Amino acid sequence: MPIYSVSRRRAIVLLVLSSVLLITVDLRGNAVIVRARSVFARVLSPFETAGRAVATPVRNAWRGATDYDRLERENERLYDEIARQKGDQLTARAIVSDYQELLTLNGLTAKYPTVTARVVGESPGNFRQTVEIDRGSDDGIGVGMVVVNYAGLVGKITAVYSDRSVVLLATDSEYAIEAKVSAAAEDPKESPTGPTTPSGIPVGELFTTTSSPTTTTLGGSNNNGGSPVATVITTTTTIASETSPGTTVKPVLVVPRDTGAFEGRGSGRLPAMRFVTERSIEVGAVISTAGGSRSLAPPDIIIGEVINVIRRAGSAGPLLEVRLAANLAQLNFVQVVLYRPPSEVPSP
Amino acid sequence: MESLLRRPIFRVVPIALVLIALQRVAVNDVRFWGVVPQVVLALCAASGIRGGAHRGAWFGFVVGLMFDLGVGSPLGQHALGYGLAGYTAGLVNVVAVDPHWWLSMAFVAIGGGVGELTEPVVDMFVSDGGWQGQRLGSILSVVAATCAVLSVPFIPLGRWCLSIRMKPWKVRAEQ
Repeated sequence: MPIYSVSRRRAIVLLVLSSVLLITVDLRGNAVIVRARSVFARVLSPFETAGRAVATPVRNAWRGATDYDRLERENERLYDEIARQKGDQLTARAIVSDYQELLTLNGLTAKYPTVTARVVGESPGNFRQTVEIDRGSDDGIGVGMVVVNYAGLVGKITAVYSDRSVVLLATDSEYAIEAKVSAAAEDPKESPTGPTTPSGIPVGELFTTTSSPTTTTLGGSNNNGGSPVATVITTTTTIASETSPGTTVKPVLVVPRDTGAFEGRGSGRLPAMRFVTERSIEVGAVISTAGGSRSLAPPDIIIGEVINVIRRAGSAGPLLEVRLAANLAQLNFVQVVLYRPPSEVPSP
Repeated sequence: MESLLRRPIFRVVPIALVLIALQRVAVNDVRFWGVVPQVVLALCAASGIRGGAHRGAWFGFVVGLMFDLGVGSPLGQHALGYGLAGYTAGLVNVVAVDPHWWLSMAFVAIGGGVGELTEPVVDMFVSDGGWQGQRLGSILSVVAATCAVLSVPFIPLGRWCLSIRMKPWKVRAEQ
């Protein structure tokens, strides 16, 4: 048969057209396809269970052979990190306690119900960063809901079936969300030597506001359904830490927070925050979700911290490279925040 | 009954289910330079070697549809990619009458590369993602290389799935 026969051309044209048709129908949303996926997932499930049983010992052997040195180094590093975090934890605990009091005082306590889910699979491809969890629409999960773990933001739900869901990770190039960045630390020349939060924000800066705060900040986790939150207390004015009569007031320069767009940039690249106008943002600033009536995520979920600031010329503003608080390479359990933006909640 | 069981569909479906499950639960953790080998894609490309472009395309299309249903990607995306992989491997295979094993490996690698390349191309049209910049080269290289290695067991497996019997070469008798 010649290479370019009519039969071959017909086959390839039919193949392409069928695929394009299916993609179009699927992207527009089709109940039949959704149903087919659910059925196929049930058919595939026993194969996956069997595959997992067979593959686990092999996978462990492979990891043992290839990752031993790296794991040993990582183990040592983690010991050091645990020792450092014990100190941070004590500081953070005190801050969270004060923060809860502050929220209660202002009537701002907002609790969002969550569903805990287990990560049962990763994306098998090289172009998407997704994971699959073992909870679905039966548990109230819907497309767009934000997914977190105890460290911070993980991603968002992009597909929901009856008993499973697909989570688009925050590192994927399609992921984007409105975010806010905490103020940079104060003037380095007047940098305090007092305790700091795990994110490097001076504790004194957080709770020394004597004038009315415009926004807030704080690192750590709270009890709002287990979702990690960060709130930044900053003011646009120069304020004093203590204002008792007869004492010298030491001015603390507090820079207002800024908002922008947090975006994943694909595998192997750090996610970044763009459209930030504030130019004094420094490494170590905390990134958290901005919330808002149209945002899919509630405000103040920790995303990560700035580890690199790329200054750009013109009006582009700086590009902030962000290290996520959550370790997306090792996800076991996550929480889906059953939150819907206020703009989507039907009025009673 | 026996002839019914010999039909390709009864072989392709279970083999594809096993490989899709393996890809999802096991192969994902085996990464070379951060790139996941694509075993299902390798089988589709390998099927084109013995089955030819036509059958390779349909084999890839059917297996790709199953893959899309299984992993939640847009239905038709992998069907197109895997179909093109089988088609391409079958198409380039006709340049040699009875290709050496290493030539078959190269053809499967080419098919695998084309199939993997289809994914970001489709992504470019249907979403904001897609091209991975400089990483695309390493992804294609690793996937093509692993497809080539996997072609050793997968070419006979693809032949079995498609129920193709090898015909021994016969020297034409002198007139």
